[in-house]
Parts: sequence; structure tokens; C-alpha cells
Amino acid sequence: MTNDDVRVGVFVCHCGRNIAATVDVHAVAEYAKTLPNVVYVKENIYTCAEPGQNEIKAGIKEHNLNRVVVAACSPKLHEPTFRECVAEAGLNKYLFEMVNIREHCSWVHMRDRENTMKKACDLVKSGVAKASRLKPLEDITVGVEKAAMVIGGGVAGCQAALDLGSMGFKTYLVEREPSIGGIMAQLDKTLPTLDCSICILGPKLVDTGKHKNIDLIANAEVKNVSGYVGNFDVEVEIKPRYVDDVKCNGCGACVDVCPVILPNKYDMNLKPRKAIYASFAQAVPLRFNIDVDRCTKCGLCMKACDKHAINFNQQPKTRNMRVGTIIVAVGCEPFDATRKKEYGYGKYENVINSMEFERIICASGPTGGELVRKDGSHAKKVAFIQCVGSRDEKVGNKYCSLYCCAASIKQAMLIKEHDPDAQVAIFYMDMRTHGKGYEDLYDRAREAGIMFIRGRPSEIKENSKNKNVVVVVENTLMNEIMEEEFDMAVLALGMQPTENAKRISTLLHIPADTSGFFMESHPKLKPVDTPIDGIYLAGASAQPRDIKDSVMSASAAAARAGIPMTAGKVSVEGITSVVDLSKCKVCGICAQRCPYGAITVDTQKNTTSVLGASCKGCGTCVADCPFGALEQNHFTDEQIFAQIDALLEEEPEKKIVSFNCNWCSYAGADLAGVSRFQYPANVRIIRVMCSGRVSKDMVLRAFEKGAGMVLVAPCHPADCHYISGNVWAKKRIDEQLRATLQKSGVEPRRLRFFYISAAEGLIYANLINEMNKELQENLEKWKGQKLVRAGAKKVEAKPA
Amino acid sequence: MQISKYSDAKRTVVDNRLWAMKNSLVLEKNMCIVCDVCSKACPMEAVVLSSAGVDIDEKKCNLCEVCAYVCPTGAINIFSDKNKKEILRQSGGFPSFPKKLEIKVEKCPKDCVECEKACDMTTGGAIKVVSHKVIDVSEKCLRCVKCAEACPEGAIKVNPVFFGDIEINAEKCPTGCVECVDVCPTRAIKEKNGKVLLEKKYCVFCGACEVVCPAKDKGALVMKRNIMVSNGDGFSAIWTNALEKLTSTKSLAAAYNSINSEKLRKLALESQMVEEK
Ligand SMILES: Cc1cc2nc3c(=O)[nH]c(=O)nc-3n(C[C@H](O)[C@H](O)[C@H](O)COP(=O)(O)OP(=O)(O)OC[C@H]3O[C@@H](n4cnc5c(N)ncnc54)[C@H](O)[C@@H]3O)c2cc1C
Ligand code: SF4
Repeated sequence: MTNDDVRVGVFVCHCGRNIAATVDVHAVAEYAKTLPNVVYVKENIYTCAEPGQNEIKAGIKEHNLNRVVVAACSPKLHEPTFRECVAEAGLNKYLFEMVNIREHCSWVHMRDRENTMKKACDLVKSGVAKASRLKPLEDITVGVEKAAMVIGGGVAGCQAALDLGSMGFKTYLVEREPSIGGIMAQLDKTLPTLDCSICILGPKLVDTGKHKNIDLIANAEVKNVSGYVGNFDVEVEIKPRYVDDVKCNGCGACVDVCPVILPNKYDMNLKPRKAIYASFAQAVPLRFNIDVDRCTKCGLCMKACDKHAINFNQQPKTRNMRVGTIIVAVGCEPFDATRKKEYGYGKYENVINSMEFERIICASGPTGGELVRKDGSHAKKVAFIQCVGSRDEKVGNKYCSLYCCAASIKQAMLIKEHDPDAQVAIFYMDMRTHGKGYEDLYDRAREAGIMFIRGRPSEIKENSKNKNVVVVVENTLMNEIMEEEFDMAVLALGMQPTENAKRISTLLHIPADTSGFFMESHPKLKPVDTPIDGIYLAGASAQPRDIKDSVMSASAAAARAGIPMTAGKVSVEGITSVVDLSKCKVCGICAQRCPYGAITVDTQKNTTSVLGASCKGCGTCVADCPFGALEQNHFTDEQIFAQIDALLEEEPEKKIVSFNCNWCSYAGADLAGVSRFQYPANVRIIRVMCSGRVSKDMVLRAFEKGAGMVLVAPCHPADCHYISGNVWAKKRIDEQLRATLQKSGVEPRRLRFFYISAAEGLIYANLINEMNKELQENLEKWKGQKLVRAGAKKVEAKPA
Repeated sequence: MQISKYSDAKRTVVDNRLWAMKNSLVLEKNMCIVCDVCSKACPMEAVVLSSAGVDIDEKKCNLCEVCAYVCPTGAINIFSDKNKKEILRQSGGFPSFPKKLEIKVEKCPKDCVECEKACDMTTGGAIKVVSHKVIDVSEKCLRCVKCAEACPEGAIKVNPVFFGDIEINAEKCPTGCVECVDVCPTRAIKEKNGKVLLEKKYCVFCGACEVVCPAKDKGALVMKRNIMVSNGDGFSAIWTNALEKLTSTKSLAAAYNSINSEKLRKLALESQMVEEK
């Protein structure tokens, strides 16, 4: 089998004790020496550290290696590191293959050393088999449009736009509401210094509005996004205001005459506005809007407007632009307190939420800043209830919203500032005042006589006589149940993702985590990048954040977005599809599969072509080409078949072959590893970029080789990193292949199709446990089922 | 939104309650004669009219005031906190209507209460003789002409708001039906020998009979308002809409053609709020 031209070097990592504690690294290294094409094997304590990398470079030089395999952690962590390392030693970076014996092996089978060993060896064998067949590839370089888009104009969005604009990039800032400002514009004072929110935000909004590089598009939504890093084509729909932006000079004469009084959303519906209105006094842009749904069309505003700016004929407008990068700053949304029935929000008039409190205590609010109840009396005794909609599994929000402990202290201090005699109590589970200066605020609050009572209230009742609220709580420090009457209760709302986060997520193909916030590319090292190149996160759209953190993340995102725009070009991985025109029959199936329009089928000229820069490398077209005319670079049929064969050489009937997509289930399995969720060691994972790449033949090949079970694990239906790869995988594998298996004498149960997200490590571990149980029960029966196939596509795993 | 509605035997209240401010529509049921004037005038079609009475769809109602202006008996009022909300009229969007009665009290003979007696028999005490120098006219007054007729001195002038045509074709009425007789607030419709009889001069074109008539489609009752009298024009589409719905497109055109509304007509056409007639 040995091919003289191929010289593979294998580097096996101890990762300190992370791998070595469970896997006998030395034995794996010895085993690697026996594999075909392997000419050099080396153990490293930390392959990724500089000495380890130097050993790789030395190996390449001294042993003339032309393929490198590193058996260590997940390629999602260090593949880029090692690719760079081999490139520095003069090797094409695609002649490198990574074997995951940490997340997928040592960390998840800690109690079964024997089988863990077998697995580690198998994985190395599979890696070597693939490496032997690797071909050098070149990255594709594409130009980057020197313009950016920021979606969402809260404090984070404004900061990001200002930073980008000041770097000199044309920046489009798209805001859904008629004015920018977000939640911060609604706040009275900001913690920890209690300075006026709109006074510090207002100037920033004005700067944003008049910055020469910022094109502020308010009252608009992003409708469509296509393209890739450097070249996103965005379609924005601007909703009609029914007031001409250019003619309107913001005088407000129309407002006086409008007879329609409606609650103002900006004031949390506590203060009136007219059907024609500007969101708030400091709105940017300061333009008026007509709420057409509620307008009586009386026309009085038309009469009042000297500028003839009112135009009921306005239609939605569409603008198209090309940008190089996108920053998502759509923020978050306070929790809907009516969901916590036990607190009586919406039922009892003196239970209000923290956003309403901000408006009531604000001098420009409905009561001119007086803490007045609905019945007009002053509230003298106020309770704050923490963690409403946070740290609460019952409502589905397990996380801490971070800002609300400090925000409630701030609000309590504001009450004391207005009325030193007022009594204020804060009911909390834990006080979390994590930020700079926050603990000082907490101290000052205690000095000011604010009471802190530990315990999550179980209920709020109403005293029907005076409409006071009665808080029922177990004081966990005193170990007593108490019922205390207050004039008013304020619910400290948690933050949750905005209701349109899902839409943005599908539009931009950026995944969200289990709580619905957008996911970072890496929670620590790439906290403002999304998994999609060229798209970044700012502010509370990624997680609950206070203003300072929102602004910081916004500047970080702007800096990150500036990198490709400054460079003017980015390179796209060379793992694209290629057409073999000699086999292509120009049937057009591949073009239907491609969600990026990267494939052009020309029936006139009888050719098919793939545009490399647009191809993202999912491989869906390859798997569905009926003539085998397409191939995905770096994930060729030949390479993957070689992996399957290698993994199933010994005791195949006991093994589960798992095809995992790079973005979801592979990362999910990584998460199982990081979390040390244990599962049986007989599963063998083959990494593909997308489940769409898994062809029928791959599954059949595995059964042909006698695999006990096969699992194809895509992203959840709407989450595919390549938009629709998993849809085609489902059609092909889940819907069509079972019948074939049945006919060929293989029980369809042996094939599993199961969605696993990057966050579902535990579900993956449980699934393998469950599959293994079934496999053990049917071991003898299934062993006898031989796959018989006629006329299948023949791909031999030839040596390279 | 904190718009709520509650209703009891006496009144229906649509309450748009903002923290420290209360905007509300109050419909006094005992004053409501269940005519169709408000329902026609409402630009948001928020008035739900049935023979059972008038109801307000709080989801549609904008508290725009128009119903309060047109209500013949003042049964509907719109408040902003404790004060009447009259932005529409103050901004010139809706005209006022002529004073209900003009009484020359100097003509009144001492101790004469003929007008009060005549009214008592019909709408129930809308006019009250306090002394022979002071005569109170309440909002209840429907502008029927009974008091004027009864006045021995001809001291009372009634200013109608609607002019129109009304006809009852008794032969088309279902046998024994006296629905209209029951609801007519001015008793312009009476029953005589099992037949329905109309005294046209008392009709104020409120339309209450039309609301209940089961055979109006068959032509048993035909009512048409032709003219609505107001003190000048309102400069708003609410006014023109009310005119159009309550009277006829003819008088709408007349309003448009008055010099005052020329600008509005142009604006309204421009913005397609109304179609060109
Ligand atoms: C009651 C309360 C009190 C607080 N007090 C403090 C405090 O004292 N100090 C402090 O540091 N922090 C405080 N915070 C937190 C602070 O409000 C947030 O940190 C901050 O608002 C986050 O800013 P942002 O720009 O990320 O999001 P947001 O302020 O939520 O802004 C997001 C913007 O994006 C827009 N948007 C949403 N979807 C789209 C879309 N699809 N297209 C276009 N635009 C879209 C929204 O309209 C909005 O303008 C408080 C929060 C609350 C709820
Ligand atoms: S910050 Fe405080 S109130 Fe907010 S969720 Fe965390 S612990 Fe609860």
C-alpha cells in the first residue's frame, strides 16, 4: 500500500494530562508508525505551543514530510494554528490533517481506557488515510467593499457606526424605530454614577446623525442579505413616515392640532402622544411620523403644516447597497412580566416594571419625575423584586441578566434622592454588582438605608382596599416567611433577545445560542465575531450587557470590522467545489442545490461552472450530483471513503460511524468533550463541513464495510450554516435512503438522522448512549445483515 | 396599550388610561336614543350599532371627539382627565352646530309653562321654566318643534340640524309592527288603529326608526337627510366624512366648494384621502 511519494508525519499530543491521562499517547505513536505512508512520528507535550510547533517544522525539514497529521484537540480550536505552522515550514497548508483525540476521545470516555485506546488509534488511522490523499490547494482572494452596515441604533450601534465612520468607512446605520437611541434613551439616570442618561446619550445621537460618513437610515428594516465577506448585498426597506423627511423641519405644529391621543411607546405607554408624533424630544433624526393605523385621516396636520410635508401617499422605499462588513447591534428586550403570573403585573395597578419605573422617575416622564401611583398618591414605600425573567428555568431564561441588580440599586437611590424619607426594600437572591464602581453604589445604598432582603418573593397580592401590594417572601437569611405591604412594587426585568432576533439570525445565517442570543465565534477569544466571516456582534444582542460593556463591545466590533476593510481583501478557503466537465451532463441539479448562486449552468454552451469566491464549501451539490461530476476540494469522495474504510477495518459491527457537520454537531460533540459528558467509545466521527456533503454512497459504504450503525447529524432545520444543506441531507438520507437499505437487507433502524446543535453536547452524548444500547441488543442480528448493492457509484479508496 | 372598556346599566366607558392622565369616552346610556348619527360620523367605524343600543369598539376608537359633537342628545362625552377634550373643534377641524332653541324671554308671559308641558309629553323635560325670565334648555333637547308650537307668544325659535325626507309606507309594514313608534324620541311616529302614522313636522331625522325598522329594505321606511346645518365649515376630513356619510355627496360637494374648504379639497385629493367626485 505504501506510496513512495507520500511522506506522512504524525504528531501526537499529550496536551499535558488532558489526553495522556486517558490515552496512552506513546502506544498511539507506536501504532502510528505502523500505518502506511507514515515516515515519522513524534509525541509532544503541547503540540500547539512553540516547542511543539518547532518540532513539526523540524520534522518537515528533516524527514522531508509532505503531509502532516496532528492528533490533539479539536480542529475548530487549532487547525488554523497548525496550518500556519506547516505553511511556515514551506508546506501547502492544505496538506495538513487534524485528528481530534481530546474533545472526541480522551475527555468523553474517561472510564473505558481499552476502547478509548482503540478509538484513538482508529482516528489516527483515519486521519493518516485522509492525509495521504490530500492535495495542495490555494485560497481564493476576494476584494472587500470599504463600506459597512450597522443594524440597530441603540447605544452600541451608534458607537460602532461612529467608530467605523471615523475610521473613514462609509457606514450605513439601519434602525427599525423612527429614532435611534434604543433602551438607553428611555432611561432616567445611569449607574453607577447616577448621571442623566439622555444628557450623555443625546450628543452621541446627534453626532451619529450628522457624521459625514454615516448614512442614517431610520424607520427601516433589513429585508435581504446575500453575498459573503467583503461583498454583502443588502436590501433595506424604509417604512413610510407619511411626513416628508426633507420638507419637515420638525416644528411640531402638526402635533398640537391632531385630535388622536395614543399611548407613547417611548414612555412605556404611560404618557400620551398624538397620532402624528416624534418619538421623543431628543429624537435623531428629529422627524415626525404618522401612526396611520390609528390616524383618523382628518387632515388637520396638513392644514397646520406650512411646509406641506404631510403626504399620505408615501410608499415603502427600498434601498440596495453593497457593504464589506456587517455589525449586528439589535440589542435586547426587557422580559414580559405578565408571564410571571404570581407577581400580578398587569393585574394590580401598583405592580410596575423597571422600564416603567425609569419613565416615571424621569423628569420628562408622565408625572414630571414624581413617584406617583396610578391613583395620584405618592409612593412612600417601595419594593424592588429582582430576577424577574432571569435565573428562572420556569420561564426559560436560566441566565443572569447582569445589569438588573445594579439597576435596581440605582433606581432605589433615585427614590431616596427624591424623597429621603421613603422606605425602599430590595428582594434579591444574590446581589451581583460586578462592574467597576458598582460595589460602591451598593455600599452607598446600604448607607442610605435601603433594605436588602434575601429571598425570591413567591407571590405579590393586592390589598383591595387601598390597592397596596403585599409581597410574600421567605427571608432566607432569617429563615422566616414574611408578608409586607408596600405602596408599589417594581419588577426588575431580565433581558432577553429581541423578538426579531430569529429573523436576523436566518437573514444573516448567524446562529443563536440556546437562550436565543447570537452566538460568538469563540466565547473568549473571538467575543465579537460571529461564525460568519465579516459579520460581528455589538451590544446586548450577544448577551445581556450594561451600557459600558455594550459600548466596549461596539468599539471592538468596529475594530474587527475594520480589519478586512483596511486590508481591502480577504481570502476564502480553497475547499470549494469543482466540476469535471467530462462527466457533467449539464442537468442543473447542482445549481438548484447551491443557496449562494455559485454554480452557473449554461445549457446553451453546455457547461457548468463554479464561482470559487461565492462557493462556501458545503459540498451539497457534490453529494447530489447523479454523475459524480462534482468534487469538493479537501473533502473529496476518495478522502472520505478512505476514512470510512480505515475506521471500519476492525470489528466494524461494533462501531457507530457518525457524520458530523463542522458547525453544529461536530461542535456539539466538542462541547460534550469540554463538558466531560461521557458516552461509549465505539463511535467514530467523520467531519464534513455540512451534512449536505454526506452522500448516499458514504452511508452505504459504511454499511457495506459492516458498520453497526450510522449517524448523520446535521444542524437543526433552520440553523444550517449553509442555509439549506441539512434540508437536502434530510431528503436524501432520512427520506430516500431507508427504502434502499430495507431492500438491501439492512434494517433501516441502523441509520439515524438526528439534529444536533453546537449547544447540544449533552443531547449528543445521550444519543450515542442510546444508540449504543440498541446496537448491543441487536449486535448478533445486525452482524448477519450484509449490504448487497448493485450498480453503485464506484469510488475506490486508492492510495494517493 | 392600556385601553379598556367597562359597561354597566348606566354607562359605557372607553378608558385610555395613561399613568397620570386619563382619556375617556363616556356614553350615558339613559340619554342615548340609539339613533345612527354617531355611527355614521365615526371615521374609525368604531361605533357598533344594534337595536339593543350603541356600543364602542375600544380597539378602533381613537377618542377623536366627533361622536361627542354630533350626538343629538349629548349622550357621549370625551374627557381628557376631568376636562372635556375638544382638540378637533379648537383646531378648527369641526364646526359647532346652531344653538338648539332661541327664546325671546322678554315675550314670556308670567306663569306660562306651556313649553315645558309640551316637552314633557315628548322627550321628557328638555326645557324647563325656572322663572318667566329664565328658561333652561338641556342637551337632551332634540330640536323637535313642540315647544315652539305650544308657545302662545311665538317666543321660541327652533334651529334644526338636519333637513331631509322621510316616508312611511304603512302598507309595507309587517302586520302589527310598531318598532319605530316605540323608539321615536320625538313621538313623530304614532300608532293609530294598528297603523303607523308619521307626523313629519316633528321628525328631527335622527334615524332611530331606521335602526329598528325590520322592513326598511322593503321600503316600509325611507329616510334621507339632505342637509346638515352647521356654523360654518370644519377644516378636516373628519368633518367632510361626517357630512358625506350623514347627508349626501351633494352637500359634501357643496362644502368642498365653499371657499374655505378649497385648500382642504386639494390636499385631500392629493393624498387620496377621498376620491375625486
Ligand atoms: C430598566 C433598565 C435599566 C437599565 N439601567 C442601566 C444603567 O443604569 N446603566 C447601564 O449601564 N445599563 C443599564 N441598562 C442596560 C442598557 O439599557 C443596555 O446596556 C443598553 O441599552 C444596550 O444597548 P444596545 O445598543 O446593545 O441595545 P438597545 O438599547 O436595545 O438598542 C437596540 C436598537 O436596535 C434596534 N433594532 C432592533 N431590531 C432591529 C432590526 N431588526 N433592525 C434595525 N434595528 C433594530 C432597536 O430599535 C434599538 O434601537 C438598563 C436596562 C434596563 C432595561
Ligand atoms: S443581575 Fe441580579 S437581578 Fe439581574 S438576573 Fe442577575 S442576579 Fe438577578
